Amino acid sequence: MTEGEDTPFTLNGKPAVAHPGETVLSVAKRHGIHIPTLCHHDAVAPYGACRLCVVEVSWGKRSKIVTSCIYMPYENDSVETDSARVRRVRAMVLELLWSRHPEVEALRDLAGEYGVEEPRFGADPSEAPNRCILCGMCVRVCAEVVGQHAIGYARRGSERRISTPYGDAAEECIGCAACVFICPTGALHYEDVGGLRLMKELQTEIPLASCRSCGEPFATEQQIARVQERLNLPKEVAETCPRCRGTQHRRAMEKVLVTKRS
Amino acid sequence: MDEVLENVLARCAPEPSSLISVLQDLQEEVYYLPREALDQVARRLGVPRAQVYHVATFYRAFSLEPRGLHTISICRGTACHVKGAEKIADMLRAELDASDGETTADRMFTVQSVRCLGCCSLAPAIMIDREVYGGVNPQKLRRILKRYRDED
Amino acid sequence: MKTSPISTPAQLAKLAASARKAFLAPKPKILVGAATCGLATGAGRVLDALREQTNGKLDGLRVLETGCIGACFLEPLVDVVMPGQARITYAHVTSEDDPGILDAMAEGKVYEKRAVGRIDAEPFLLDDVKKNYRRGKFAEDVRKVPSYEKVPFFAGQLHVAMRNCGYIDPSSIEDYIAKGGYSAAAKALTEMEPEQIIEEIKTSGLRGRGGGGFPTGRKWETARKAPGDVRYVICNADEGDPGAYMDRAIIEGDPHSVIEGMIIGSYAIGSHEGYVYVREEYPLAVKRLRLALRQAEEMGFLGDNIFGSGHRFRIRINRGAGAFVCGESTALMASLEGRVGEPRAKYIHTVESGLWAKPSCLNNVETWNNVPVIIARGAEWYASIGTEGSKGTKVFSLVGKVNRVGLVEVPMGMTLRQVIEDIGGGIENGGQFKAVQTGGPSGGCIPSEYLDSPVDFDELTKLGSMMGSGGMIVMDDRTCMVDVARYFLAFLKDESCGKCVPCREGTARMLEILDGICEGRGRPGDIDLLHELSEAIVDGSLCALGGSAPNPVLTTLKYFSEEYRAHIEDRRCPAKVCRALIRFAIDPDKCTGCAACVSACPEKAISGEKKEPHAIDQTKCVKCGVCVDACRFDAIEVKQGSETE
Repeated sequence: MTEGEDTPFTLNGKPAVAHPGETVLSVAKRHGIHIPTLCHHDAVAPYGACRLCVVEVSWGKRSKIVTSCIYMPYENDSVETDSARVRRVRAMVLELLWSRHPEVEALRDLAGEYGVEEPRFGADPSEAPNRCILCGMCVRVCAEVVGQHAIGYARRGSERRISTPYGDAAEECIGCAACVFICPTGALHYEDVGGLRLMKELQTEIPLASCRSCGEPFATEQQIARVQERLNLPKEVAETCPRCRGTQHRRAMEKVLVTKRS
Repeated sequence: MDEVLENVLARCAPEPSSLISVLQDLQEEVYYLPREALDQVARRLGVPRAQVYHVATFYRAFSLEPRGLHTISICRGTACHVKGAEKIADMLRAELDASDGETTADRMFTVQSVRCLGCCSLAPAIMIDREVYGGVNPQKLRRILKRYRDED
Repeated sequence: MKTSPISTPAQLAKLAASARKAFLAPKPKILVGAATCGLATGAGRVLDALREQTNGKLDGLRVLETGCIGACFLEPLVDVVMPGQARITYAHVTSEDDPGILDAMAEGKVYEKRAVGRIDAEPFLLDDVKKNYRRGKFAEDVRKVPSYEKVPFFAGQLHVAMRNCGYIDPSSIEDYIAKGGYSAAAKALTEMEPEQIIEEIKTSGLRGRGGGGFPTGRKWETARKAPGDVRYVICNADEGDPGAYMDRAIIEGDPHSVIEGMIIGSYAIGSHEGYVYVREEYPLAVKRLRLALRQAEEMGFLGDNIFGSGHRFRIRINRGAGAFVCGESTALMASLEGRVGEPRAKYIHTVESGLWAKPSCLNNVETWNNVPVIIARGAEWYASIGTEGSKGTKVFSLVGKVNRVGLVEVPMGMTLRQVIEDIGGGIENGGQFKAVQTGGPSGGCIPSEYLDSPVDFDELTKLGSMMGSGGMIVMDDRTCMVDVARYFLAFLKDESCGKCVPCREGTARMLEILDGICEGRGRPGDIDLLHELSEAIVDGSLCALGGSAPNPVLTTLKYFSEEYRAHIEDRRCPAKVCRALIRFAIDPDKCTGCAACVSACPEKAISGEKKEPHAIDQTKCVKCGVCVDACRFDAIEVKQGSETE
């Protein structure tokens, strides 16, 4: 891979081209080749933790397994996204995850696609069932996109967990619920009740703000404040809910068009 | 606490890369990492609290709970393992009523395992604070523990 | 001796000459092995007593601490150099021996009770010179002490990395300079070009001593060629492999050798900032290194314009915080950056993008230590030692069930048998050799059929193991190989960072299976499942910790399948180690009722009348074996099976 130049390589037997800094996953997507992922989202930096997106790269007689979300191809690489070796790794990753989280349907379905009908490992009887597969997207979205760092990791190895600092209420949380939306297994929850957003796992209650146009609560006060500050929006815009903003924008555009026509 | 923390923070640059050194120095002073101190460290070094918490719980050297006055580290290296490190854990449990990771009721000793002290010629070995004791057997262990108890 | 800073090679040469003269001065000298294991055996008390008791009859006596010469099984070690006499090594010295040693010295005699070896000349490896302690014949009692060439433990060894360990006071930079220290750095920085130095390292064939075995010269070359102005050199002193402690011995015994290597490397690569990452379980090594760095700075060997070459370089120490994974290069660098030790994919190598995303050259302690030797003696000399693929020497920590446990430095290519039997003295207590484990948790167990294999990077890899950092753990017939596999998996499970699924979940599941096998719950499909998991973990893991985690299991499955079969099908542990498959029983014919075992038992499981044969309550017994150690009559037996007949 050379700085600033496209890199030609072979993808599933056909010629393909990686733009400067482009990963195999991105190239595959452009070619309509599906590679499964669990810890990847375009909104956040790639992490390479779930190992589901692995592909097999060969050059000459040698080959190795790499994660397509991070690996940027070199010129003579021949990449197979669905070789037998790749499928074996994916099948085991899914079997391991599903056996740890038997209630997560998404894992069951994915595991089924790779021939895993029944997990051969048992769930830990001493632990309460949980849906968190430690993909870390909640951590990354809160750190990289929202900038609040309200949630993170604790400990290491099989003790590793997603946690608020000290396991207490997360002071930094603004209740935007980005973590809830990005979670692939539904391990995080929130509820809007009585003018408050209750972030369950983050153990916070944040007042909801109501749209100054329609009066419906649509985001937390803190979230609005951050968005306003970050994007330097006028208060009226930030405090209007997306639907009303859309309506206002449409009306404004209609006025312009009417004026133009007349 | 404030004075201790100030001294510790003064020893290195107020930036994220100093985090581990700061935590090490802090723990050496007060035998554990108090929460208020960690919050202060996060502020002063510019590291998010969530990250400080991960670092403090990731590395075995750190403890968020008060440790005993003396830390007894059982070596779990391979040589010590084949020469009976598990036995030492049993002995300590009998002597101190504290298992791996626990602190005695009188807060005198914390028992923990470490991966390898590098004193394989003395297997099985333990380290109490910074002193290594080799060839540990029940009588020797009792003698050593008594010495620490008498001292304090 | 407080000297002013050195700013030219000529000044260094002058200081070296006077330092060597002082070093070899005909005055009595006592060296006490005071590295961590020496101190743990009581060398501290010996040292204190010696310092107090100098009987006034020895003019100009110097009592010094020195590093580990490798003969750990003989510690505490006290070496005596009397003017005009050979250096005598005394072993297993206690403070009660001190007066005897001092008196013998005053009379010019050998303290025969503890004498085990004799060194006839002070070696100066960097100059290829040996200074005899005496011209002419030695006195008879001196001649009676075997010279090191005849002492089996030392006979086959070649001390290159350990050249100064046990010979110098590690807290004295003058001692280091007397031995030729810093002359290689002076030569490199003032007489050689960086590319020349890199060529020399390449020609020498030096390969990384930390485990990877990557050609050092090639690594330096890539680091130098990487784009950008800022580069880092890093010394990996995390030494996490259980059973390996050679790096600690080098830092405790010869800290300047690492500093000098890094200075040369920094100049060759074009770096001005260096780091040494030392694991926190090595407090004495950190202390010695801190002092050495201060001394080097005061002398001008670190800082600006070193030897007037214009090169500037500084080194900082960072301590580990208890994470084996931080021995992995990207995790180590994350830790230097103040983050958790989570590795990252190495599709782009750390030599191109490492610490702070800058080109970083990470090498092991022993690797850095070898660099000044190569510059001083030349690449051809270095390449004349060892095998085709593995040049030079390697320090091994020979531990476990051997008679002579210690650090052993031999030319690459010596066979495992030579190391274990000739140097190590074979299996202790009349046991039978079963396996030698090399390469730490990433390596494997090698059985007796391969004892004649040469120790060499590629040879060990061919056998399914690896050289690793040099740990050599010898196991005998009382070691259960399934238990060993389980031990390594438990170790890795504990140390896994937890980021990637194959390592975090896979090793945990492999451990569950092995726990089951060791506890008599093995099932017919276990072995196949272990193989299947292993393949996925090797292929799918993010870093080498996970990638090599299955190795101990795979090699024991390959070479000791019969033991697995016995555990799974017969519920039997042939080595009588797995607690769930054995029981302890007191032989009523041998038991004298002395009750020594009663007080020793941590579970209070033994009872009986005074002077009558005692019995073990199997419901309370945890099979720890402390009673066997306590019994003086050999009356407690370990039996197969957990059920009483």
